[in-house]
Amino acid sequence: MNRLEKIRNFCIIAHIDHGKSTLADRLMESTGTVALRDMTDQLLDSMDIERERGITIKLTPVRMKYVRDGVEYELNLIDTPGHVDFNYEVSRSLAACEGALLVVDATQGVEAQTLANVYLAIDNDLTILPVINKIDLPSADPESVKREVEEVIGLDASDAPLISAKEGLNIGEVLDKIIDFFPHPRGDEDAPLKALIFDSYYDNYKGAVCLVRIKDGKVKVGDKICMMATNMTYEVTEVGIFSPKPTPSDILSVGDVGYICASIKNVSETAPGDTITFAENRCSAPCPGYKKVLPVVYCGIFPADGSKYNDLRDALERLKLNDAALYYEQENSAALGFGFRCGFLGLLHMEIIEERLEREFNLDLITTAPGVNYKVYKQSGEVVTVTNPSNLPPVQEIDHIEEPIVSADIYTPPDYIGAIMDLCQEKRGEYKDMVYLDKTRVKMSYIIPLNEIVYDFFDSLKSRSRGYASLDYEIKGYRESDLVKLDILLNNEICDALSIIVHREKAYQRGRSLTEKLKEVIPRQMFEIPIQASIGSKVIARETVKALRKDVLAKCYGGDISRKKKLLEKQKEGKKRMRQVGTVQVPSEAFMSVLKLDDK
Amino acid sequence: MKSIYIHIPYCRSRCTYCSFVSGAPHETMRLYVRALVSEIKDRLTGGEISSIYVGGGTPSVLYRGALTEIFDTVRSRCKVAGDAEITVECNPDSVTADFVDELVKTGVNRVSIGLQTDNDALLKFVNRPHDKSGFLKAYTLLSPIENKSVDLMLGLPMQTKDDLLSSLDLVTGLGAPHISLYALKVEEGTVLYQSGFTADDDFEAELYDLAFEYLRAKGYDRYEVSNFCKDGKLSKHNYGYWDLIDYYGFGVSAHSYLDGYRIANTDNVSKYIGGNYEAERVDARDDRAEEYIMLSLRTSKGLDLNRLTGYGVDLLRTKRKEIDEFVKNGFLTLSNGFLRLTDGAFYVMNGIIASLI
Repeated sequence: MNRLEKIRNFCIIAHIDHGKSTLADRLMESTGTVALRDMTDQLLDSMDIERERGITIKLTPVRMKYVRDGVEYELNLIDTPGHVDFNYEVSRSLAACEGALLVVDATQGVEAQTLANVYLAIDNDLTILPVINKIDLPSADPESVKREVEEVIGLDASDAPLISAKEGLNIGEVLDKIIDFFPHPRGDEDAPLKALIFDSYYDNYKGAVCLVRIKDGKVKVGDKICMMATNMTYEVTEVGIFSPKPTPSDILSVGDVGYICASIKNVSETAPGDTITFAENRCSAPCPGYKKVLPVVYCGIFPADGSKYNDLRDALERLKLNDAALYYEQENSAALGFGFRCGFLGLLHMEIIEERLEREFNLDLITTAPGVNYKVYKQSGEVVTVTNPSNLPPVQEIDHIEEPIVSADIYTPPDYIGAIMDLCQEKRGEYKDMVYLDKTRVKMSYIIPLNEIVYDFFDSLKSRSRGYASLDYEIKGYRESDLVKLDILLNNEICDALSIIVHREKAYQRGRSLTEKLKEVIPRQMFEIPIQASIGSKVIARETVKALRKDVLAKCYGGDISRKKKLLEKQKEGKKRMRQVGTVQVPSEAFMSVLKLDDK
Repeated sequence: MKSIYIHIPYCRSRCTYCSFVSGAPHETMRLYVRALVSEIKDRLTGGEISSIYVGGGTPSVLYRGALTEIFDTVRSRCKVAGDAEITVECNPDSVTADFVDELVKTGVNRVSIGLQTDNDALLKFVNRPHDKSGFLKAYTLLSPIENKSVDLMLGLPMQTKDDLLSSLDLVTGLGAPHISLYALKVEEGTVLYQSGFTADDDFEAELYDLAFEYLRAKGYDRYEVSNFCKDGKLSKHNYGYWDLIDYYGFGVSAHSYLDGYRIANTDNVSKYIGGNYEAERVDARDDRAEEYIMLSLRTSKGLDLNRLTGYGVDLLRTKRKEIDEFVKNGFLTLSNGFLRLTDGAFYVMNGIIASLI
């Protein structure tokens, strides 16, 4: 048996909560990769947020040794992110594998994300082995789930291991099937180096660390390498494998999964999908499929306490070190002061960044409504892209505006078809197709403006389907649309941080719900505050916050002024958390409260 | 000159809105007065006193002779100025001829009577121990002491504008030279709080405006947000609090302000009787400017900017923008070195003060 025949590179595909990370833990445990005492649940997900949300954000490969019939196999598990925002990253890590375990929950069946990732795996020519998990649960129905896998996905599920990752049931069978069922890697050890970067991370001492799958050739310390997309060259300072901690080795050879360090300053130089080859003796063609990743969702991020601007900048810099897809530039808002306009791969990516900024860097943030990248065609013939509503050119200069659209697939039990059709209609969706996958599942396809997806689509979809429907989408391009800038005026002054770009037909409804919400969250002040929503100079909705009538401590009790002092200090503290918009004090929370409005 | 506050934590019954230390069992009264006398002896050592105020609780429920003992002790430890204002609080139900006699004999020259409202149903609802006719009787009994103040409340549960006007009619009709008008505050831990009653701030503000206009028309001057007087009969003692003068606070839960220190006595009557008077002492010497801003703006005299500069804060430099804005919007006036709230701003002063400190 040659070296390559003893290697298997595989990944695990699963819907959130179907047990991917638990299965990964069991595999590592069974192969003795980690001593039991070192196990914490979900070992691969090293970030707190990953553990809590049960999702994988950063990829972590791990090498396991498995001995069978006297032969020691090397099993490389490449973990994949499980969310649509990271589709491209998923596809790159799939490209590093030959096989994929498809974990399906025996109580839930196939879900939208599972399908999306299965198609990605099929696109990447992977061999797919279904694994039915959670068979220990009373409501488990492995036979019908198997049938669903066969009918919906078209995979042969007759050999699918029935397991319980939680209970450690039938894990050995999975390991055996990985060896018997998945092809071993192929490639030419003597060819020039060809290594696929499927992820990278930043290490304070080593710089950007490339996670690679060696497709051809071999690499060792001292080799001069080159990134084929950027043509930048480096000298290798370390190579190694993950077991699961990074462990230096002498050489990485064809078929291997491991890491390469080369004093690379920034993860933006180690783009997933790029190919590493030798600087001198180059391989003939890079690995296929490389794409430059661009942000699709934008929002403004500001420190709640204006004096924390530098802290926010430093924090974004730190995150950017490890996240090439994060984009940010300085933004100056009249209402919120200095902050950043940030770009993300999607809503989840945005939420994760916000959460990490708040948690890991202890920052209190104000974020503005998420928006997308608009193409504005001016009458002068110039085309500008606008991600910040405040930068929209004056109406009279605009010829027309185009907005990004997505093709969205929604998977749902048939009961909710009506509700979902209504939702898609409200969200300006254009119906494309509907397919009954089986008696209990329907796939509905729509073209929907991304602008509508980023605005509470997930939440509405979940609430209208009682959590059953799932969504997958892909950017399809741009389409002309009748969009307008909706401004909010507080005491007759525009509050730039609350401006949004909306479809003209939606403007009235949004204007109304925004003004209503703001009326609730802006405290009464010493004068009456009109809150208006306007398009250009036309006011389309108005609410009023009445003037404050009583704000006094009537009595200083028997010379005890401590209560009054405390009250005033509290009031003063409260003021610090307020933003001044013209003459109006607006609490930081107000900016956040308008992000999620119920249009109903 | 300093002033003295003395707290009497006894009441016949507890009003449902009350959060003061007032419910001590009456059997402890003699022990309490003994402790009070001993605290005064301990802490009061010379100096001249410009005012004394005995509050509560209900000082009028004290046994006869108690006030005499207390005032004798004070006079033995310091010089009480000849024109000193000496006030005792009383509730109509416990005012008797004996009591009035003792007041006169001990040199008390001002009384503060808790009426709150003249609507008997409302009085009963908040568990006041008297009715309107009891008040009138007490008022007559107290005629030897001309300088009277009557306490009224705003925003009692179910109180209407007519209720308030009727109470004001009654009190001004009697010619009371001083009226305190306190808005009901629903404090945590009170019976009223537990009953789930919440104040209607807007209505309360309306009542306040109504009372303000009414009293102005009757020649009463609002010299502080909750206090009205005619013929210059303001409460010298209370004015001292807003003017940052030094004062002793004797008795349970009393507060003192001496040489820049704020001292709080214990809230616990047993501890107090046991001789543990003081509970907390805070160095407030650096707070003088802030305290002066927040207290002086309560008064119609307003904030003396020169005096504040003496406390180390030049408000016209540090808060010029805020002051200009408030002046422009008609909430403050600035004249002759004094900063004053305008009439309309008195009832929303917290926000203004918070911006200036």
